[in-house]
Amino acid sequence: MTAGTGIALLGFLALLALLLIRVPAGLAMLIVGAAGIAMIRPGAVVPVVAGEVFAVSSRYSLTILPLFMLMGNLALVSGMSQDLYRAAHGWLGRFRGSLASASIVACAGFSALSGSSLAAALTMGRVSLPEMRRFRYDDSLATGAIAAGGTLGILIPPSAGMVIYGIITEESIGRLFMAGVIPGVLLTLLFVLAVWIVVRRDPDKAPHAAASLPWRDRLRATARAGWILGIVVVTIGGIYAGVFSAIEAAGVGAALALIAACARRKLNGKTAVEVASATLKASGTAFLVLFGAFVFKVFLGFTGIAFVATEWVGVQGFSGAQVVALVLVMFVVLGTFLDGFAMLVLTVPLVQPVLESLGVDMIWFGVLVVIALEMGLISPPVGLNIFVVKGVAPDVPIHTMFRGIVPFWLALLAAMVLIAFVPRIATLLPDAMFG
Amino acid sequence: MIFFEQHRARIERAEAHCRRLQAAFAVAGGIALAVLLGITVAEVLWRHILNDSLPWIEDVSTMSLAVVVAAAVAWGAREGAHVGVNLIARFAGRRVTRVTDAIARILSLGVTALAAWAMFVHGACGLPCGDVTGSISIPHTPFYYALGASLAACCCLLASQTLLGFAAWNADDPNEPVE
Repeated sequence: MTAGTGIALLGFLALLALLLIRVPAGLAMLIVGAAGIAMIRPGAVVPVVAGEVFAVSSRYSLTILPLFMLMGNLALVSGMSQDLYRAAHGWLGRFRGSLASASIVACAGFSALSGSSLAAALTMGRVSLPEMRRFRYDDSLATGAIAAGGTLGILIPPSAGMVIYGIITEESIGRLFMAGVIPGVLLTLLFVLAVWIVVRRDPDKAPHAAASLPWRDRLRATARAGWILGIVVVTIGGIYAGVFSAIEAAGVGAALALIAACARRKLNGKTAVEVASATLKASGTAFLVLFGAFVFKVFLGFTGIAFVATEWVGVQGFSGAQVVALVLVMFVVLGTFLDGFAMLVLTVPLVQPVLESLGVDMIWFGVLVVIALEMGLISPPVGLNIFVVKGVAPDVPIHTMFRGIVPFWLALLAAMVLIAFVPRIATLLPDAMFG
Repeated sequence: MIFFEQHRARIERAEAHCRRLQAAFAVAGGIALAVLLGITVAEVLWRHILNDSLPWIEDVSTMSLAVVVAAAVAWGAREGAHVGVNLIARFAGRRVTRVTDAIARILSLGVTALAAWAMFVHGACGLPCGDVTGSISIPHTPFYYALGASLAACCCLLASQTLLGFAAWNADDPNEPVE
């Protein structure tokens, strides 16, 4: 083992220790990165820290993050999520388990406006949980559907997870966004299928189907959700058609969400402050993690561990598929206790050179990684989405929620396996668009 | 710890001042966010309606982003938005977490102070170091300082929270992370 490798491994151990004592993830990486650089090249600490913090803060491609977060928060205050839920319910209402399925479909729709899984779970939790309880849905199914539906937020574009992955791997964010579309739809269908199977096995979990709406009411409900559908078509369609870049789509989407919020008379001084505050909060979370990640990445570069790992994998004769499988298992395990962003920025710089040396398509891998992050969001003991739903339904015991999440976790696993074996599911749209 | 307990009211006042400082950053961040939104939309409209491009857009966008980030990091610290892993609370009691929290805050304070200092030192170089934007040569220095000031504001808050943690050593820590 070289001295650099030893320092890198020590760095990873120190990082885990710092995370364990509740140092924020971004600062933990900054501490280890700065200390590691000081051990290897003491004179480089100040220039690297200042240079990386400024480079991250002034990177044009990252303007996408606050703009998409702004769009999501404007959609949140504008009340469009309720319309979306009613529209989904209008079409699915007559089926058993329809309220849970409608929650998932509405989460998918909201995800196309917001890159945050937590925002999707919170919004749809507030809208759909009271309805499901009114119709005496089992708590485990109701909360599980919302928590799982929320995870679609980081797969369906715009996705904050994809943006961070794209920045770290230097892959096209537009390509990544397009790569998330079909897997997002597939996963939505798998979640709906999971609801159907759960209700078929135990009809008591969704005892009452709501009354079927006449066609006119369904169309009216869909028309009311026109704002949200219009914004999704303009932003995602605009990227696909090459009318504007992903960054410009973020700006246009946020502007349209602003117009929608004003048109629906939902934007006043109080809500404007709420929107700005929530956007700054979410941006602060992402950027502090990125500060730490980029300093940590430089530290890893100094240690040469990525080169050693690539060489080791080459000597062992592992194939790309084997390494991808190993990395995904590691992500699923890490996701049970580590924040998704932190996990992404911590591990991707290390595995990227190895995967690239084996010819792995990093766009396809990005989609698989995001699904692994989604699994982490609903896995015990940390499962952030579960705790978000717990905030909406404080009387439901946490173990009931984790029990309800099992079918959806299996659906995520099925999606991951499907995309792993059929990469075209992820690469079809970006290839069709970018060649 | 008795010393800190006796001065708890003063420490709380200091923390309140730090929070006000962070709120000032948020106001600047809100304005920068509006600017960022405005120029991104302007660029799209300019290109599609007038068939022309605005060469300075990227420079203004990136510098607006720097202000948004400076504000966001400071505001995120105040709102407790910076993500961490709260596993320790599941298997250790307050007697342990009050020690680990103190260590975590001191380490965080140290690295944030280092980063703030690095931004001021590096930013001071300015034009001689070629630190200007590509198209219209906006100097980077003020934006380095904005980021440095934001990190310094985080230091201020972390310092007051560390002292408040000592003052609340035998009671509930008001800044203890929650699920």
